[in-house]
Amino acid sequence: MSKKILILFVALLIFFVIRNFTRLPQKDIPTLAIEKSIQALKNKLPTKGHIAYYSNSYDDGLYFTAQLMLSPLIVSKFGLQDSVIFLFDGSKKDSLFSLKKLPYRVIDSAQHGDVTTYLLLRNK
Amino acid sequence: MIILISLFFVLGIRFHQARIQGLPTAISLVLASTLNLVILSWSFILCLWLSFDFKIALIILVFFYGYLVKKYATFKLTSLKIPSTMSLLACAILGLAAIFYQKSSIPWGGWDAVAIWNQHAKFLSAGPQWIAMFDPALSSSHPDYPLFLPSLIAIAWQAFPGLSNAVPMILGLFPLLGILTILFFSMPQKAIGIIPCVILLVDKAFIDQAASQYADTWLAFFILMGLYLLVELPKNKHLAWVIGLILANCCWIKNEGFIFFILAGATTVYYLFPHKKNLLVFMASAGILLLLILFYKIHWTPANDMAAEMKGSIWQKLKSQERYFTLFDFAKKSMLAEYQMLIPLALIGLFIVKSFPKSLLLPSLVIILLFLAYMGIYLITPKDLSWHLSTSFFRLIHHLYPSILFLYFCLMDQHKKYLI
Repeated sequence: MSKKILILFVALLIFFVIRNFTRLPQKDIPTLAIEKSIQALKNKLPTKGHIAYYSNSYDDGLYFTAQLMLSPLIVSKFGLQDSVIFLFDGSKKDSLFSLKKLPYRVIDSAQHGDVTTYLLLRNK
Repeated sequence: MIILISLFFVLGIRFHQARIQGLPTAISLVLASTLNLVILSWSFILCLWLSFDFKIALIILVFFYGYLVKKYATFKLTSLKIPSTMSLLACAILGLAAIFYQKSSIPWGGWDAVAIWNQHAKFLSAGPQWIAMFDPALSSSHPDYPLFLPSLIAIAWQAFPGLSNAVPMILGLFPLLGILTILFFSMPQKAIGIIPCVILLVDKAFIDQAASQYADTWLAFFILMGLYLLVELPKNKHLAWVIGLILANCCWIKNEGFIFFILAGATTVYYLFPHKKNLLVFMASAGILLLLILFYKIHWTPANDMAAEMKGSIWQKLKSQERYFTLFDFAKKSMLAEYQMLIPLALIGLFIVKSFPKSLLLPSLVIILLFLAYMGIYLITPKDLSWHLSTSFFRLIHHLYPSILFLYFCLMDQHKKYLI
């Protein structure tokens, strides 16, 4: 009897483990907003080489998440490349860089949650 | 690709299990699966280095395994049997561990998973563009780190296209389940094996670290396997080739693995010294991987950030009393806050342990020396000591914790008449 209960318990555990793994990737976390907003612009970015990174925020986590989402493109922090990804995190009161003060023009943008991603090109 | 990888695993596990004899079936299954992961990781990396199609390499490997299974192992489908109560209990523990792991797990993992491990995996999955990961602009993502975990993630992404964040989450569960399986089945008295598993299951800090998708739990798993094999080696000298691969692969998981490799490798050489043939087998299996890792370090990667920053006098740092006090104070506070379980275990041990078996002496020494070596690195670190301790001390203890529990409960097993 106890063995049957144990088998049932193990079967239930296996069911929940599989079910949880199908749900986990959609868990709403701060990086999801960056991921979704970057994904929306990804096909407008170059496929090789460097892209500059700017943000309103001092949080390095934003930079690393952007780098992860855009790899194998190299996201150079405060680089001087012609293409720029600018992450504006509305949940942060930081003012590291302002979109208006950079010598770039906005090509496109996408928002998800608190994060807006801008794709910029250097002013000629 | 999925079919090829599945065939690779089925045949590979069968072949390795046939070669790993004298160990409990569950442990030989874990070892065989891990050896397959090691071979898969290296095949993938060599294909990248040589610009060779990984699918063709997989086909060759599957045929090679097929030949080896035909020659050295039998392959038959056994009838389904109801597992024993102990096996069901182990499955229940593994199931609970998976549920707890999932509760702590988040897409793309913790800071280092985003900045280092998963990022390197994305570069590896990009084909010839993978060398972009060594670009100086990415120096803060530690491009000198070994590629075992990133290569496994990249392989899975090739098998399941779409770069899903579920892949690193699912892969990260493997070392946790491996650790629990070894702890459960390595004790001669199975009932004793339940205790260290429960200790880890209820340890939220341990589960959180395992769920962070870092390479630290992989290293903890390999250190535990290495230590278990060291304990078994005097009885099972034919495992020399397995221990060679497992120890050398520690260096392919994290740079800290080199220290464990040196300590455990020296112990293995000591054990096998009178058995020259086994010693040669060990040196050959470890040597191949070590040469590949050295090639990777010399040919591809930039210098390690700590090694590059190591300027001032090491001797001055070693003489600084203040650094010893900072280190001791941090270690004491950290142990009391996060590893409270070690204190009652130590007290129980003091009362129960009457003698120290010879088979556990050298493996215990390896863990003590590994701990001291980790502390020694803190003493000479070029980084700010307090910052370095606060960002990595818990991860280094995470490497050792399962092995400490393993040795402790092996010792308890020898004194079980006082326990049961």
